[in-house]
Amino acid sequence: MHAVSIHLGVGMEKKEQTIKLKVRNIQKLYDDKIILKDISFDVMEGEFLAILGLSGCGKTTLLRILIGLEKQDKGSIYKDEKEISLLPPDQRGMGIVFQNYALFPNMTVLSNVEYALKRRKETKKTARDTALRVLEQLGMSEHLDKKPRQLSGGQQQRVAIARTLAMNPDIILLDEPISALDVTNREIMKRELKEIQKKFHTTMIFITHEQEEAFYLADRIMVMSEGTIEQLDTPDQIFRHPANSYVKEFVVAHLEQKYQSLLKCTGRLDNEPKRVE
Amino acid sequence: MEQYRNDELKKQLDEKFPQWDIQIMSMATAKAAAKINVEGSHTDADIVIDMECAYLERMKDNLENVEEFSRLEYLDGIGDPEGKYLIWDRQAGAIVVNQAVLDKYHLPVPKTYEDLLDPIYRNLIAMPDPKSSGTGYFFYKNLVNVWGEEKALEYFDALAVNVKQFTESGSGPIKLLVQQEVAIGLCLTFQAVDEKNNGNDFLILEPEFGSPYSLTGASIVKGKKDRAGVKEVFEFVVNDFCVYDKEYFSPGQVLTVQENKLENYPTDFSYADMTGIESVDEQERLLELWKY
Amino acid sequence: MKKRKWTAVRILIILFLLVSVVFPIAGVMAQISLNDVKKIMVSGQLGEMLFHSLVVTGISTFISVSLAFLLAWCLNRCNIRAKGVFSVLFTIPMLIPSVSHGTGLVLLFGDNGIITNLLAMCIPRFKVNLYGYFGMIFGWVLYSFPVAFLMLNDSFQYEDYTTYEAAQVLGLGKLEQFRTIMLPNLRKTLISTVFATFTLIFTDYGVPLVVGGKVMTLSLYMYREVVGLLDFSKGAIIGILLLILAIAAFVIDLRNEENANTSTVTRQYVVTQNRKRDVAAYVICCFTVVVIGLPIAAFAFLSVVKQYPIDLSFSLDNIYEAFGLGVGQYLENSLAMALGTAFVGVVVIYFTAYLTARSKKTWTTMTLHLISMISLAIPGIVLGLSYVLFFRSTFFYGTIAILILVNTVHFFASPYLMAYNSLNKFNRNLEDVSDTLGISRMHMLLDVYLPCTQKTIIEMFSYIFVNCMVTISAVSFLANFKDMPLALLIPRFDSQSLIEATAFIALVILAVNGIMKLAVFVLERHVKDPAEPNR
Repeated sequence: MHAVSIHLGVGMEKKEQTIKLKVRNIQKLYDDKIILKDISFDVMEGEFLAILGLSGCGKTTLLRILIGLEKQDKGSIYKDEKEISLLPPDQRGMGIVFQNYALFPNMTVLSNVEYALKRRKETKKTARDTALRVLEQLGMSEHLDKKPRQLSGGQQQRVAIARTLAMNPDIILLDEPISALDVTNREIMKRELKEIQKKFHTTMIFITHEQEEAFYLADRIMVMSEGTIEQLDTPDQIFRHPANSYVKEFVVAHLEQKYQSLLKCTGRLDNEPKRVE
Repeated sequence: MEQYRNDELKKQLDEKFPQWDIQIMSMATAKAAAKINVEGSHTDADIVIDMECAYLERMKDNLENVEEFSRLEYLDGIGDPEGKYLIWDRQAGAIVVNQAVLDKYHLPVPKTYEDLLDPIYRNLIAMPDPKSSGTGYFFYKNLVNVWGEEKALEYFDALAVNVKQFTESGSGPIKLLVQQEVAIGLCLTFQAVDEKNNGNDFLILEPEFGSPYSLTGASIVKGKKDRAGVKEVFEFVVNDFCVYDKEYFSPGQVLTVQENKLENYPTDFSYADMTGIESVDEQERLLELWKY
Repeated sequence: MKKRKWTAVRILIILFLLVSVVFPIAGVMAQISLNDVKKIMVSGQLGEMLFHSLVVTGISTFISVSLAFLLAWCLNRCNIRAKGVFSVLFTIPMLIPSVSHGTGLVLLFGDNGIITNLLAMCIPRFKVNLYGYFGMIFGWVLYSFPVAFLMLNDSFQYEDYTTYEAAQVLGLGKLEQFRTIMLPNLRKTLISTVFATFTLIFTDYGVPLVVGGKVMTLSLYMYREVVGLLDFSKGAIIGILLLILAIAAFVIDLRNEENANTSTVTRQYVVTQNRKRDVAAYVICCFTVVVIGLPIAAFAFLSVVKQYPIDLSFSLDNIYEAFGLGVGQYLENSLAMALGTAFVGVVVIYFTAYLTARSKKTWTTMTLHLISMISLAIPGIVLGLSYVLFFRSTFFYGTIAILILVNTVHFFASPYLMAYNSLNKFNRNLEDVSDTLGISRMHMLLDVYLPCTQKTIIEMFSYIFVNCMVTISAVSFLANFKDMPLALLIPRFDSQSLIEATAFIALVILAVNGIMKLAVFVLERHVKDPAEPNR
């Protein structure tokens, strides 16, 4: 299984397992339709967690509830043992990067990043320095005076990430960070996200519907469907021991198929599909 | 009143009362009456001049008692016994013809009301709309008095075919005659005389049954008597200016002693039968029946 | 929580709109006495007026929209130069009041008209039967086609060329292409345009007032009864009729929007070479410009000639007379009202659009949106009447404040849509971003939205200003001597047959609006789009 292991990117160093975020019994209804049934899970400090599922499974709603853009009907959220369930989004110590970046269209790259800092008394004086520092770390120092319209998708995303990082959050949420990019940029962005996480030691939670993304980037994956958690485990475990038929079908079988067609092209596999138990 | 009379009034008022800013607004009779009725003492006007008595009767509740202000002697039988308004004017009408236009179309001068129905005058006649103008109304009422309601209405049905426009204000037909847009107008005599003196080729004809007329009056709006200057201005207007106005502008007889200084004014016209001209109910009823 | 505050603000604005839109209209309905309804129906007048109104409006709408379509086609599907110039020229009739279109026609084609007299020299006994159907149709087409043109011109630019290419490959002829591709593509806009034009014409009283002759239309009747005789009950009945028709048109149009197919433009239309066609287009456009220019030339002519037709010497007497009649003062009134409404209007409308475009779609948001659009369906004269009845005993009846209020409401919908569409284009997640970064909505408004929508704001201002300068509908019931705007003098002077003064006034209004449009043009070029790179 050697080749498979490499492809799956398994091999995460064990870190201290302090719990950063505790999510308990989150429930969300919308017009009598259950979006989130009874969600409970923990997020470890410094980990890269992927929430994987098809559209409509509730992952976006969950993300928004975590940061406080939407209110849960039932349940609570704790960060560092403190309850943050009812705090407004700007007071939870979290940041979010959207799929379409949502940069301020009339501000330069630099202004975009320092804007929120300038608005706050505490950070007003150091706003510019912080912004410059973060942008440099993301490799955007050459583009400080450009407007969003002049940037590529990947560059815009970096600015969006910088904007969030400048606020120094402990947790960063990302909404489909890879799907919107074209093929070359995907690889670049995947690597960059990994680097950012290492550099800034932030806990990162991202949602996606693409299995490869999840398997490549994440330390752990939470597979969701129809408002419930199907399995929350390391990629390795999910692949080897899928918890139920859904995970088997959606995750494992899909990856197998893709991998086999790839291997067939390179001629490294005979035509017999290998099944994983 | 007409623009030129208002201009003269303003000139004299500004001379006599430089300390007050006096504005003169001219409006079609029925409009002005309706406005005061609806707005009551909130209205912006303080004094009304030259409003048909029928309308003044209708809005008596919104007028002050003004008997005390007049120093003039009026003819017998005219005036308000309750003293709510003073007689201002006798507006008399005539059939006015623009000779130049008639010549252009080679048409004869009409003699009777019936003549006006002749198809050769198609779209060449103008008449004020009785619904908004006192002038229009008194032509209408006169024919009702002479022929009875039914025949009068039939007449106007036929006349309407030849009428180019029922103008909103009484001075409309005169202007149209001046612009040569129509050949014949049912107008106020003194306006026609004035324009004739200005050089227009008009013929002023006495209508078949005499010159129809209505009386107009002046008064102060209720609640405005004590405003600065209103009493003084009103007094000047109904005495000094009234006399001036009668002599130079509108010679219809209202005072016992009245000089006529307006050139070419036909003093030989007889007045038509205008019984019931001040009756408010009568007016309402007849206007209901008016379709144009 | 911030959210609660914003809901409160939204409710406040809804209340404002209720008070300024819904309640007054309800008040109008309350005025109707059944007695009057009976009287009107019995006299048979109503049927006749309705008939005339519908027929003339129908014909005018057809001609107007066709003309606008033709012109839009000329500008977008032919190779002619100076397209920008032409499209600006075509909108000139919007800069003068509707009633001036009527007076212009009288000056040109009346029995004593300039053109009538000129042609009478060649053709004996030449006379145009202006008053009545002909005059109204001509006047209304002049009045309404610019609006139709703007709507159609815009949508021509969004046609996808690939369908035409496919048709060419299939061997479909030009006419067939027109029928099977162009008309369906533009169907949505065409229907909107037809309804908008119809409502515009149907509710106007200015044109029939001058050139209607003896034909009575519903809106003119309403004007006469209410403004002339202050018979509110009759006015209310007609008003409700007009309102019903306008709302019906509005609703049908709304339905039409829902069924629209939005196709994206893959390829811009490519205009083929065709000299003959281009020449024809030039001729049509130039001819239209000439026709637009004639009334204006007539106004100018009449203002500087002593007394047409008897004395043609050059003279400024008429202008002096006009000022003597108070034109200067009324111009000030108009400017005060137009500027006041433009400023107040832009603020209120922009803010309302901001609330509806950038908030979650709750019931308050949807109601706000609906009420904002409703003002499109309420004819000016009906609104004016309702205000007279509703605000009669309040303190601001009779002041300029009520004029500003009624105009803001009357002209609410279009600027609202401009702002709404602009604000809607921004990224959906910007509010989330500001929430998570701790940036207040107010700062977002000031630092992001306002700078990016400057052009839209300028357009809104200009739209409101120009319309206030030419409006004679709602204000005719509410203006009194102190604050009467210039445009309202035209019907008054016309009723006293002071024709030269009305011509001069039309010129003045045209000049003021022209200056405003020029200022806007210069300003727009000067204002940089902040989303564009700094040079």
